[in-house]
Amino acid sequence: MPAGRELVNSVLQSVLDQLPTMEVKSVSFSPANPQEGEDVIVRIEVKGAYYVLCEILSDGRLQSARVVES
Amino acid sequence: MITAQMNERLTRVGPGTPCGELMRRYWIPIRPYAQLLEKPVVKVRILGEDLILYRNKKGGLGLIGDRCLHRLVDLQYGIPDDEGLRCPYHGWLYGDTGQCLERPMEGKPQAEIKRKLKGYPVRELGGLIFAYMGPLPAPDLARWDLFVWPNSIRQIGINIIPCNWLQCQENTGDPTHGAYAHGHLFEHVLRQKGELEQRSSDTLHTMYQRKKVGIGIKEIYANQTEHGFRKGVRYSKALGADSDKEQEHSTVIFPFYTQTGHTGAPRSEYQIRVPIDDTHTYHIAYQCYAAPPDVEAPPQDIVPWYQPPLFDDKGEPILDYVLAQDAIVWVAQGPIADRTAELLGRTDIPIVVLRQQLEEQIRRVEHGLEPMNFFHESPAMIHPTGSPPDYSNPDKLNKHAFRKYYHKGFANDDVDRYGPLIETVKDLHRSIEEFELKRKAEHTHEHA
Repeated sequence: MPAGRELVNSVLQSVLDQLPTMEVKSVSFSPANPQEGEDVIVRIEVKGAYYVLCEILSDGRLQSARVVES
Repeated sequence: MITAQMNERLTRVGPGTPCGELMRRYWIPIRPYAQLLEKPVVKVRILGEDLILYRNKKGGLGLIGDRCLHRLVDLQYGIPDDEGLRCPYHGWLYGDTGQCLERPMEGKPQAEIKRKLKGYPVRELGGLIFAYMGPLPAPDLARWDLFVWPNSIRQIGINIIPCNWLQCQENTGDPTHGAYAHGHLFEHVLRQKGELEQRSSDTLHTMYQRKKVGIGIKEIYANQTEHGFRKGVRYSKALGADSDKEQEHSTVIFPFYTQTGHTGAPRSEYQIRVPIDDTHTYHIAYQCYAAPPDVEAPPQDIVPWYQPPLFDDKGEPILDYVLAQDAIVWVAQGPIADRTAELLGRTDIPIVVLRQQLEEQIRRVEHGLEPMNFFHESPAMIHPTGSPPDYSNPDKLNKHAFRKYYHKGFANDDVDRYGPLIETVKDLHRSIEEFELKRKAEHTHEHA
């Protein structure tokens, strides 16, 4: 697994661990297979009428997060 | 939830702790300058360290360890001298670096003693005294705009809150708490006091505005910025809101500030959550009341301070103003909230970003890097919200409209009501309103 994806997964896991009331249905990445140095948008579909968008920078920073009604 | 290890990491602030080391990269506001004019020697506890803040006879400031090297007497009873502070017991004199400068009655010449007290640099800005407790050289003191904004008057409210600093700061990362803490709770309290009609007859009352916070939420967001982060809520009429709109909430300034109201507004404020130790927070409500360019704010030499009550004579919490409503829920989470047991939901997304940002900055310091808002040379004025005020659109300067109408009774909803300047502030708000009405009338006349 590329280093970029490992970093993204680690941040994402940290976010999801903090939100146990969310039941995750699916997770998608843009770009789908981030390489080192690439920023990533993660879309998390959760049970209920909303989804979560996280912008994770290539250095592992959680630049932004938003929860949106579908 | 987070792990117990992470909870410790984010909350503990003593020397050598990860968060404590981060905090020691900043100039920390520790007391109002005006307090030292009343009492030139004050004992302070900051980041778990017991210290003495003093003003010497020449007006210079010092912050040194609290126990005399000689017989370990608490120096809070010390005597200010020309060059420093003398122990009240045998007169040992300490300078601002903590060095012992003189030992009376010990004969001359005196050999220099190797031990010294702690001694931290202190500076004054905007009526507050700041200390730097980290590795030297110290960064520059950040000139956040409310400290230096012209044509303004200021006052400083101080409270000691018996809980960990992060609970107070996380409140800032929580844009929806207002619906209950400042809306429904407010209504409940006023009803119990029999003051509901009297205090909330005008729909401008904060209670009505805040109750709407939870209705019609389309999106909740938090974005990291150069100096902290911004967060807010987007509303949808289709989901029950009164219109499609976006409401940005208070701006977070890393590591422990939040700004409510825009700089240049008739009322804006920094709430500063300084860790006293792991279970106590020195809460500073730094209030700035700015006049637009065509209205003159009264002159002010010294920024006064006050201590607003959080409890009444019977020991019951006072809950009929905004800061007190916040304070009670911070304390009610326990001395250090057990975040291993909490259940965050979708409205807590900004809190997750806040914690992540804190962890990111702790890690930077651990890796020998400078954290966010560490300035080698501060700009003359830093706008944490990103831009200076736009006086051409005065309605947008204050996020909560009631805060430009303190002269109409709305000061009652804020901690400001206890401040020594409140009557002056009401006069200023009245002048601002008169000016705005006049300008509006002239504008209407020109376009008629």
